[in-house]
Amino acid sequence: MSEKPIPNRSLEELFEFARTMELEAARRYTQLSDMMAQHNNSELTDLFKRMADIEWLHVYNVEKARRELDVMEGTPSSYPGFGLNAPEVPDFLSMHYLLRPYHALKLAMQHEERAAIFYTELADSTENDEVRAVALRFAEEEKNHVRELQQWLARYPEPEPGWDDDPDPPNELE
Amino acid sequence: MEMTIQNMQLAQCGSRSAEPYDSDSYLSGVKPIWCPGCGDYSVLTSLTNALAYLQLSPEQVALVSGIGCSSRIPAYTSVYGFHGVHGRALPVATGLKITRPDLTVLVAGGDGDGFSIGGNHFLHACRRNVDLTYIIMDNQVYGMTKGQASPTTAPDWQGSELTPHGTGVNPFQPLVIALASGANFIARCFSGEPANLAEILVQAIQHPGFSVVQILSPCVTFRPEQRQWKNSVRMAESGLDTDIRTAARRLMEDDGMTVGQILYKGKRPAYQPQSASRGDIHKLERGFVL
Ligand SMILES: Cc1ncc(C[n+]2csc(CCOP(=O)(O)OP(=O)(O)O)c2C)c(N)n1
Ligand code: SF4
Repeated sequence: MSEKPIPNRSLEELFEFARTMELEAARRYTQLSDMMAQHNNSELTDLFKRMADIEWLHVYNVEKARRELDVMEGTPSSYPGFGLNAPEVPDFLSMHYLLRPYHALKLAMQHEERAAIFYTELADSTENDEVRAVALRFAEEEKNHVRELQQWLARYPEPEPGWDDDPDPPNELE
Repeated sequence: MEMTIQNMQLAQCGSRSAEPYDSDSYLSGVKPIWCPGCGDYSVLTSLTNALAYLQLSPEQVALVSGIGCSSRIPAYTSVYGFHGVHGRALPVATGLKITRPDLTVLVAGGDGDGFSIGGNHFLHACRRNVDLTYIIMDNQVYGMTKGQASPTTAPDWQGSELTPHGTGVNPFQPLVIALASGANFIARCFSGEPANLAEILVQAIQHPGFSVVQILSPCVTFRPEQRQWKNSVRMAESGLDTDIRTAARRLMEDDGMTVGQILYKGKRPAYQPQSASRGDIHKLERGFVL
């Protein structure tokens, strides 16, 4: 049950949503990095940390755009769980301790794509011209992130099937 | 607020009329050691988000747990925590809430902790209806002890060497039992729906009396097939039954995979002995005579 674009959001709500989504994504990638550190997957620890830093930059960019357009700040969290399922926020359940950079980048790309679709649908559904313009701007930024991730991903070939086989798993049954 | 790099970055993002607590305010510096993919990570996130929504100060909240992977959760939070004895989280929490009614007392643990060794306490906690919120991370297995069947495991699950042909016994129906025993708020959620879970947790905490929130929370290590729960759970269409017969029928007919709604909300007043008896152990004990 991910967030659905709700038509007729105000510009303040749109900015609040965008900021919360980037913030939750930054938090989630930080948690994923910590998770991988606990399980000695140093490649993914670093990669998720970089993703978290990038998401923090996006939080900054949303705030900058808000100031440029002189949009008022909204209420910090309008309902419980606000942003936790947002399109850009990866979920914990798709994690595995043996994940490779290929998987992590693919996952991040899927979430940026979801965010782009979300903003495009929102732009299509709104009757407010200002909201449409900002939603399209955000959609374009998300598409740029997808392109950047695609280039990054090109450095990593897809792991062979069996990448998750572990001859000595940490939790092996007796 | 601790000045972490993230907080500094956040501060640079503009002056916001921020509320005193955000979800990070409820996290301790201890990093979870749950397996990557474990559903309990999401439960922690939803819980801290719910507490931030309620703007409860961390010292106003206590989180009591038993033993198990899920029961590690207090260590990962900044609220008062008590990592107790296996199956005994509910009596500890009951005592705490009775003597410190000013605290918001939460209880957490697994299906093994709560329904196996702690099963009897579960029945009586529902009956007593002390103002607690009981969060059960149900993965239908004992995760911490490496994958034995629990009371909620299906009878034909053959994943453990202890029960190679399955347990062959009827799984425990925690929410049916909770309803029959007097719990005042009953809900089932899925850890893969963290926003919905946060919303239900807020309501469970706010509702007076004993609130039971069963969370289907995959154990990806000993029940890897539970990764598919995200495809098999169903978001309930409607909830909030105050009529106990409707709630009973709904729970009895359900296959256990309907999530995301309050399944029962009662109006029984929470049990709280008179303040005069607080601190007097003998008077308190008399209040508990069965
Ligand atoms: C008195 C006692 N008996 C048995 C144990 C061993 N033990 C530790 S955790 C556990 C079960 C944990 O299962 P569950 O509560 O479902 O939590 P999970 O690890 O799945 O989150 C058992 C039997 C114990 N610690 N203490
Ligand atoms: S063993 Fe299972 S319940 Fe325990 S941390 Fe791992 S996935 Fe979670």
